[in-house]
Parts: sequence; structure tokens; C-alpha cells
Amino acid sequence: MSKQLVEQCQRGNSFAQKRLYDQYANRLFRVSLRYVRNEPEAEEVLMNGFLKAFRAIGDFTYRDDNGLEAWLRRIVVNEALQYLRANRHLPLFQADDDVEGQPDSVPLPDTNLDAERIYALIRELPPGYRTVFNLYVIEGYTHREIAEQLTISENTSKSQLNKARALLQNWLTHYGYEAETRRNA
Amino acid sequence: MKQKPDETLDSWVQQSLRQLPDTSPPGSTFDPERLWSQLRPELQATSSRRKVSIMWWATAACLASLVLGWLWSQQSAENHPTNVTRSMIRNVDTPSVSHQGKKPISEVLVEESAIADHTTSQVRLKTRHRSNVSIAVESPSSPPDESVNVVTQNSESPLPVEMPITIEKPTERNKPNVAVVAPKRRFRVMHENELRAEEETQPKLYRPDHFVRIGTGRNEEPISESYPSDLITHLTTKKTQ
Repeated sequence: MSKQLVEQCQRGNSFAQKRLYDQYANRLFRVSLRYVRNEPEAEEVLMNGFLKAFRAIGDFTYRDDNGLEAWLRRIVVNEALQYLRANRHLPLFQADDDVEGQPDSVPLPDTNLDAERIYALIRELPPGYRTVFNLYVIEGYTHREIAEQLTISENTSKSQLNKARALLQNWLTHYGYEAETRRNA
Repeated sequence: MKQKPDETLDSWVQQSLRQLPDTSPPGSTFDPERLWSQLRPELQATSSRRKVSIMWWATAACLASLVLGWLWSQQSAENHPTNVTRSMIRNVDTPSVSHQGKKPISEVLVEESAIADHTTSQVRLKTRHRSNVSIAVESPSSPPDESVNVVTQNSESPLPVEMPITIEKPTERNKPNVAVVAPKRRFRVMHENELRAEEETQPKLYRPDHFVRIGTGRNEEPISESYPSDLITHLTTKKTQ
């Protein structure tokens, strides 16, 4: 199904492009929203990502749906990092004093509480912490790759990740989500 | 093996995010259709821009090939030895015209040697000379392709520039085995003194306009107009006799 869709997109079929867009737009919007500050920026990143994807889809070799989604995610993530660099949001690293404390404005959705709350808490992380946490924990980058992408040292990446984890753990504890407890339960 | 607390947190976050629904976040104003309406013109512009660029490249390639082909044909026409050879043959076939009004044959050959400076064109010239026109210096061992060089060297020497040249026209074309056939004589270069000596041995033919009238010129009978005027000498009659 997706293979035919990709083949049609490679031939420039606009209907196939629309179907592929519909299939991945919301998912990739969430990805881009984890990196940038607000929704208009996330929409801009998503639009540029889809443009690049449709331009480069001729070089893409379809294997399975996971590979297609991973390819699209990678494009959007790279586009988000490029957006952050272009708008001088990088380097995004703050002193420890600025990030202590609990988040005040974390929206707590009613449905899909656990996942949506985690997602919202990640978005509330300071930009530097959030970027490194997203790249390392969710996208699976190594510290070396993160250092290259963000033009920082590996040690900075590691320290940012540790701080992001500590802050997230704090917030989760505050909201009653103990990771260890939950895992055992 | 028990996981570290950090890894536990990471895996828990990963599992949680995998459970996210395939929709935009709650409370979000994201509208996929609106974004698609912005994205579609960009995609169409991209595809049309690509078509235009392909058309431009194709047009440029056609123009470049046309220009290159024209230049190549011009160059090959300049280097083509048949033109020079034909003009040379025309000059040689009509020696009275060529020696008076046009360039001497030695200059033509010098120009030819200058044009045929390129190696490939020299090869082409050699083959052309062998196949179509046989022009050779009268040197028994010299191969036909050395004819140009030999004549060129002679033109630089203090010998008279206008040398009588004879041509042997080809009797057979495209002989199957060239190596068996002895090299043809294409030119015959000889010294002016030898030419004079040769001419002296031949019976002399006097042209009538070089005759002079000897005598008083008195004529008793009027010469009719139909009477042939040349080769008549009047005997003079002296009054005293």
C-alpha cells in the first residue's frame, strides 16, 4: 500500500502526495512541536520538511512502513534543527539555576493522560535540555552526533541530558509519576 | 540485570510517546488541510520549475551541439585538402592563367603546407593525394606524401619561383593493392635550362605575327582582301635592272 504510494509520489502524482501527507502530517507535527517553541513554528518546520521530502523522495528506497516513517521523521528533525540554528535559538543552554523548580504552565490533558502528559512535560523543558533529550532519548542519536548537529562538545551534550532527566524526574515526581514505581506496577 | 534509573526513565518516556494518538495535540490549532493548501502551490511550483529547467537545459544542449557542429564543419572545410588540391590542379592545368594572374604554384603549396600543419589533416591529405589526385615530384624514390615538403623546400631556394610543372592524371582509381604498384610520378620538376634545351630539340613553329616584312613594300598588284597576307615576301625589283 505505502509502497505504491511512494512510487506514485516518486512520479510526482499529487493525489499520492496528499495521501502520504494525510497519513503522516499529525505525527510529524508532534515531532516538530517537540523541538520548537510554538505551533506556527512547528507548522513552518513541517511544511519545509514535507517539501524536502517530496523533492527527495525520488532517491528514497522503500523497504517497509517503519523505514518510511523514520525517513520522514529524520527530515523533519533536521529541518527543526536547521530552523533553530537559523533563528539563533542555538546554542540553547542555560545555567542550572534557571531551570530548577516545577513547571507552571504544563497543560494536563484529560484523555490519554500518561502519554499526553509526558509529551507536554517534554515540551516544557528548557530549549537546550529539550533538544538534547529529544535527540538522545527519542530519536536515538549518540552524544557525538548531537555534538556535531548542535556544534557543542560531547560533554556538554551529556551534561544537558543529565540535567534534562533530573528536571523531568522532578516534575514527574511532583505529579505523582514515579518511573520506577510505575515500571514495577 | 536491573536497569539504571536514567535508562528506566528513558524507556518509560519512549513507551509513553509511542502510545500517543495519531492526531494533533489536544487544544492545538493545527489544521492539516490548511497546511496542505499552503504546501500544494509550492510543490506545483517546484515541479513546474523543474520542467522549465529541464527545457532550458535541453535547449541549451541543442544550441551548443548546433554551434559545435557548425564550427566543426567550418574547420573541416578549411582543413579539407580537396579544395586546395583542386585549385592547385586548376592552376596547373591552365598554366598561362595561373602564372600571370594568380599565385604561383609554389605559394599555393606553401599555404597548403601551412594549413596541413595539423597531424590529422596531414594524414587526411596523404590519403587524399593517394586516392584522388596523383601529384609527385620527379624523384624516383620519393613517396607521394613527400611531394608537398619537397616543393616547399624548392620554393624557399633561390631557384626561379615559377617552375614548369607537368601533371600525370590518374589512370586508375582505387587500386586494390597499393604496395605492389610503383609510386606514380605526379610532378615533373626540371630546371629551366633543361626545358629550353628540350624545346630547342623540338621543331620550331614560328608564329606568323613575329614575321617582318622585308623590302620596299611596293606592290604592283593590289592585294585582294581574300589573299592570305601571311608568309608572303615580295621580291624587290631594282630600277637599275
